Amino acid sequence: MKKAARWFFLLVLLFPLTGCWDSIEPKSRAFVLAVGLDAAPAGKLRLTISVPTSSGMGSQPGSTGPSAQSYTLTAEGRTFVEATQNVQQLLERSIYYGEVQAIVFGADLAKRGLQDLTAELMRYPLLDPLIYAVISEGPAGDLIGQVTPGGRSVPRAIFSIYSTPASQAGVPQTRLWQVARAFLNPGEDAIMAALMKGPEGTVPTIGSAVFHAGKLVGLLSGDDNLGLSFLRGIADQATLTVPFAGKEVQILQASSRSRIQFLGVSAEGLPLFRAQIQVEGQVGSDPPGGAPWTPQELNQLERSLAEKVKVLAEESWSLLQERKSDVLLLGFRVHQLDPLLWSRLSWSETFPKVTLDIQVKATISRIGNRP
Amino acid sequence: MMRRPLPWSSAAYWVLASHMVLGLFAFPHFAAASAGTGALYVAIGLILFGAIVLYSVLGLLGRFPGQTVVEIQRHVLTKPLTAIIHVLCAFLLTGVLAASHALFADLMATVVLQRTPKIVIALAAGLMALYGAWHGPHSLTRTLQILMPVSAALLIGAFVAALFNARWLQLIPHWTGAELIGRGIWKESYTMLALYQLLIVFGWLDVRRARPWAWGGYAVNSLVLFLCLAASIGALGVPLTAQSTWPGALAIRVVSAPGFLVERFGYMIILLWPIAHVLFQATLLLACAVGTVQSLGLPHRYLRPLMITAMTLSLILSSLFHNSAQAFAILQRYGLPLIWALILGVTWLTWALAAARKMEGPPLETWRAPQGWPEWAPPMGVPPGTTATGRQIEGESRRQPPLG
Repeated sequence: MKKAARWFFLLVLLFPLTGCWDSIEPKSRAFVLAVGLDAAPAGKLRLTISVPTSSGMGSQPGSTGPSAQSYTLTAEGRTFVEATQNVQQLLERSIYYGEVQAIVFGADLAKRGLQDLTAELMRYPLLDPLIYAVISEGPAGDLIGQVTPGGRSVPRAIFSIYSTPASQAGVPQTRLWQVARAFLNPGEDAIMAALMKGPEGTVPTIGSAVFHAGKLVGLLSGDDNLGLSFLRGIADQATLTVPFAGKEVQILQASSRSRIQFLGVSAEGLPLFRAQIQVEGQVGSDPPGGAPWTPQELNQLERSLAEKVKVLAEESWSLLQERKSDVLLLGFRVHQLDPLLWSRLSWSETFPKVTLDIQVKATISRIGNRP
Repeated sequence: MMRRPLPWSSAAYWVLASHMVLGLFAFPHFAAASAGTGALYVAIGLILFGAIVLYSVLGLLGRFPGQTVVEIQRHVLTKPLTAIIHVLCAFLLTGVLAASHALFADLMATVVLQRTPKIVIALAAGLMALYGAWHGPHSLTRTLQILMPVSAALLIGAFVAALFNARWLQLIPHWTGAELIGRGIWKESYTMLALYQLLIVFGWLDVRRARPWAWGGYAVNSLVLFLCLAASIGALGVPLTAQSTWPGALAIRVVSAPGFLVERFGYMIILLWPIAHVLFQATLLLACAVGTVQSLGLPHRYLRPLMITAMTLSLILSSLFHNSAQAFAILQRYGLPLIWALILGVTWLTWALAAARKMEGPPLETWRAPQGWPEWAPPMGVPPGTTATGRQIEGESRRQPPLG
């Protein structure tokens, strides 16, 4: 009798624990892969979602036509929640944000300010704080709907860009929670990857979007972006040309590490900082006088490389000061290391006057790729 | 009354279990919200407060070897008063159980089982807890022996990995003032008292020679608590920690360690939480029933009906809450002051009275072994002078030791 009661008890336990009876079938869900958010009139935002078709979900990139991959839907709302509700009205299937891979903010919306929106997204159920957050120079909705050559949808393209080491030369890989943290931390401004406008039908190029007080203040690309990545110590596999004995020498696979120190206060009462950048790269050309490279020539090349990186970093630093964007966390260092000084300063006013002494040390690690 | 004391090492597992509830992952949120950049000082204060709680419980148990807190209170505070206190305690713990049903069901319904009715989630966990409590503290201890060291090791590993991923600058604590930090410690000690509940209720059970093992468990617990806060603040920063509901869990999830165990730790938390929750509920059920039975001097056959009653009542109560916020507010407003007064306050009062009146229990060697036991048997009888001396309770035998 006891044994039977025990088995009955275990059976009773099984019923509520099945977890399947209430589930929504995958075919009844609209799995959203990417979310685009743009500015709309009257302070509203425009939400665009990219939903893969059932045939697109199983297909390999490039194996089917672009139209088979995914479709997009757009609606407006005062908040993300309201916009989602409005998009839901266009769909029979229920929207599922659990599989979102990237969230793209349009530059127009980012210029308005993303602080409140990010806080709302962080609170939204099922939207993972670990998804990638990027800025689009053009409308995010257009980008989400674009299909790149080879049948890849933009989320896939974003992902492949992020996951390819060769393309990480200065791309800030930011996730939603990191953006939220930067908006909240004192003395820190947010930085996000920016998808710059490219020729139609091409994969967008990558830059950096820098913020101040929650609002987008600049999109950095090319050398500005490279200089910033050297300053932040995140450059990886970058390529740059260095003047050497009247010729241009290519440096390949350049990577950087950087260390920024808070040195104290100047006579004017302003904080002083030092950035020490260590660059390492390979030389990809023969010396002007012909191969092989001599140690003296390599020393000279290292000095030229250091000088080039310093110029790039200083230009990016000037740009940041001009835009008042403290993505290097200088203010945060003051806040943490000298709270009394921080309480006396208005960082927004102080930041453009701050001195950052940039020191660069370059190393040519190998003479590469010569057969 | 014949009973089998819990193994000496079990104290460590019971103490270790006290942090393995949902509160651990929410704790950094409360600390950062109340003390800002001084949150790490709050953690130190909270750990010291927990040490005082454990010291007082062990101090009381040490004065009366082999007796539970309830038996000691019968001796020190008189039987009628103890009975009143523990019957009230049983209702209070039932209320806490109801609140924990509501909070757990809400969390699971939000994260995993979106369309499952909350009462079904609460019922499933409640039945499991009842199953655990039904088999008594020895069975629960065996579960704890496996689960708790593994959980503690995993959590320590995960938080250390999160710390390596952290921004070290964010870890610099600021002295935000004695008032703010003091208020933070008070608020935390008050709010997070649930963390210490198991520290207290393990005094309901017969844990002999617990002292060094309980402190060992507490040291590990404190380490886990401190690492959880440090990892959250180091990874997320103080403002985001203050805004996140479960910052401890998020701090672990943001660790980028491809292929490493920690990479998937977020999912392991989802597995660990229900287990920890069920154990927490089983302990509360046990405390509820054992406290009532021992304080009223009832035979142990009343234990299981009392557990069923408490579980049924708590499930009905939990279904009356509108949402988890209301459950938490009621727990905060009424539950916690009562826990302070009835559980912690009375334990401290008993300890103070026993110390003031120089009251001590008889040493274990003088205990009378039950009839028929060989002389070499360890002292597993009852102290002389207790009401149940030598009484054979129905349904209990040496082969099947009783609960409590």
